[in-house]
Amino acid sequence: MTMKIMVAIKRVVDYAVKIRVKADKTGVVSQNVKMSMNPFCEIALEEALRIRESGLASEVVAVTMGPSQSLDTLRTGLAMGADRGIHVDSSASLYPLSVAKILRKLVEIEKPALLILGKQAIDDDCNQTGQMIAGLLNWPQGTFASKVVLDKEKQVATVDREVDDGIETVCLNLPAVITTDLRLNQPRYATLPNIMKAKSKPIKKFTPEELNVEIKSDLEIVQVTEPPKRKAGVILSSVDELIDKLKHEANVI
Amino acid sequence: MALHYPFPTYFILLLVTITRLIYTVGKTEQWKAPILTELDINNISHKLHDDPEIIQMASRDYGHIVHEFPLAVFRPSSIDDIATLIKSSYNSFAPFGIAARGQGHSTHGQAMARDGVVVDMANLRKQRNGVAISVSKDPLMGHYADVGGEQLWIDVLHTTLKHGLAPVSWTDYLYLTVGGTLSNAGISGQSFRYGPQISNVHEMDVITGKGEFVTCSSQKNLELFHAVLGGLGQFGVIARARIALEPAPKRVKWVRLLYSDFFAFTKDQERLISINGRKQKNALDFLEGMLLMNQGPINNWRSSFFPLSDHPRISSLITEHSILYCLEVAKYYDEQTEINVDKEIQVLLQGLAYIPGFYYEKNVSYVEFLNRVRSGELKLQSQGLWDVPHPWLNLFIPKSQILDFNSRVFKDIVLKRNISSGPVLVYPTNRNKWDDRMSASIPDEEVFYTVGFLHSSGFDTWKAYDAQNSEILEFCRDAGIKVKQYLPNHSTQEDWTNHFGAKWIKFLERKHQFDPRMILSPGQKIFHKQLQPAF
Repeated sequence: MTMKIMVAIKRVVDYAVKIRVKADKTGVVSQNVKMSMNPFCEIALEEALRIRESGLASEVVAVTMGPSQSLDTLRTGLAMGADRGIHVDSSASLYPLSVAKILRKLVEIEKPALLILGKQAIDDDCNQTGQMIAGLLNWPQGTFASKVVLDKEKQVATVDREVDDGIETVCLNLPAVITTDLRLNQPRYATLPNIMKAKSKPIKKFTPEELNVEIKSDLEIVQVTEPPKRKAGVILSSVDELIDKLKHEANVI
Repeated sequence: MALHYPFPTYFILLLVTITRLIYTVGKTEQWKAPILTELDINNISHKLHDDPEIIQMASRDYGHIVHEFPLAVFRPSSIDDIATLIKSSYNSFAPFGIAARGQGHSTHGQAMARDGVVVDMANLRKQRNGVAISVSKDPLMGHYADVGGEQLWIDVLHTTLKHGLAPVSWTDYLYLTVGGTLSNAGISGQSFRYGPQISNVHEMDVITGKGEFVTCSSQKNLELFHAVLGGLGQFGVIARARIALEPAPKRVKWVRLLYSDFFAFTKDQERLISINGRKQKNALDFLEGMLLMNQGPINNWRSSFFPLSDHPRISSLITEHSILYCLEVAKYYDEQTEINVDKEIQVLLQGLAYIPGFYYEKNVSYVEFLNRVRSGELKLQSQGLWDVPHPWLNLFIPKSQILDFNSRVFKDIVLKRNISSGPVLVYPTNRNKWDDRMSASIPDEEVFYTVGFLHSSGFDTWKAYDAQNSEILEFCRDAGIKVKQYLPNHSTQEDWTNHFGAKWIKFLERKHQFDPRMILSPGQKIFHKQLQPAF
């Protein structure tokens, strides 16, 4: 039995860009700002590619959602090595539940054995989609993965999870959902040969309507504000002074 | 009264603070990506082409000897596109070679980029049709033309002539790009007086091997300016060059003289080029020389000069002497100066030791003269003889060693092998017309000769010419003849070090400064280091 892996990738404001909040506080400025693949999604895609390269999977399908600019991110995924792409074209705001519903439809079409997502997107830190899609599909999930071991014969994935108590190891029956954490792997860079190969890889387009998914806004962003500006630090001349400030100003001792 | 705590308390508090700082630093570092970023592929990928026909075009050149396949051909719409491409490679984890290809008129793969990207400058020329050559005037500088590096010299000629102006230094063949000839030197029969084309550039815009757009001149960013001129494409892609212009003549008196004695031939050439001031009215405007040998027709692809009626006479003279030496000179004139030009030529040619009765003269337009190679090209193309191997060898030879070269190379190696099938040029130029700060490498003597073996061959016979070229070079090495190759083709680091001689250290420094990841013009094969990740 050949195994297919589906990877969700998201276009976000590049991590190196200095974020600015819109004047009307409805969100952050994303026009004329460098956009890139979400770093956790890069890690998800990298893991899928490594699984394929180890011979345990036959195909990696990259999925993205959003306006036509999202195709740039999809092409980056194809240049990293994904076999083909799916673009769900939507200019509406896509919140985690809508994304999860769309993914469920695509899973029903593609029938992957493994669905890998980044644990969260750095633009909103929702960290919800993986959990939601697992619930909708009634699939086991391994979130915050820092290690993934597949056993094709037994059809299980063993996932080391990073939790506050340390590393938790879970064993998931396939098909399963995995979300990736920072230490899982180091994503590769797209090389020129792969960029050229990517140009001829197929990208299939869907709309939410075609997938019979209603984009419904059951979540409202009330306001976005910038974090308070940090006050300048103070250079202290002695440990005594430090203790005095900790005791009387910070009240922590 | 100061509060005192027991030592253990001090220590514990300090330890907690330091531990927290360490934890914060570590956490921050985990989020730092490597300095090198991913290829920003989306800006350029739709201009990267890998269609088989396009790849095939970029994998060969005029030489038709070397074939190297790029991964892609880049078709830029603007200079910014080229900067973006180079920056993408420079900032990439896995940089790839980039070669700007103008007309592909190199002979040994110099404009190729194996497993890299060839930039199709002809495409840029089409995009910028009619807007990339502009003529201006500056109170100090005089007239000049700002020319895109992708433009052809034939188009520079036609555009500047509309203003009654023209550049003063040319190549023999004009269907070459400005960027291409300035990356070598740009030489022809005008060089003895006006210097090579690289001596007639005021300013350039260059995209360096870091993808930076830099304006340079002998006053501003002069290291880059001198690096790029004659730099074999190693330091930057020439986006624009500001070319000096002078009032253009209308007519040319074009003269050829035949010699049977090489010593007399070279002495006369040296006397004629000793009159070389830019403003000297009695100086020639053009001087070249060539061999006439039995192997080829009297007229060749570079020009059809000798009248058919005289071919038998010339042929029997060649039979008698084995080699004839042809001196070719020109003097420009127009309506005002026409009355004097005959006398000036007579004065210049007085006392020359050419064979009596073998003086030939033509009067042609300036454009006809400069574009003299074109008709030969078209003829060869129609006969299917242009797109064939060109195992050329171009040498600069010090004046003091040209007689040795003649007796051993021309009269021995070349005559014995008996395979010549193209022009062999022999003409002197003056070192003081070149700028030694530039990358171009020339002999140390005040006068040196350009010798060009411009062979054409069949696709399965070019190796014989290659062998002759190797024999010539080996002879020069053994005999201590200090040749420099023009349009150089070397295969070892030692050869390149010797080629640049005292300039090698400077060349290396400039490479590290302007193209530190060795991206540009890999086809020259100067720097053999494999492109490697930085970490």
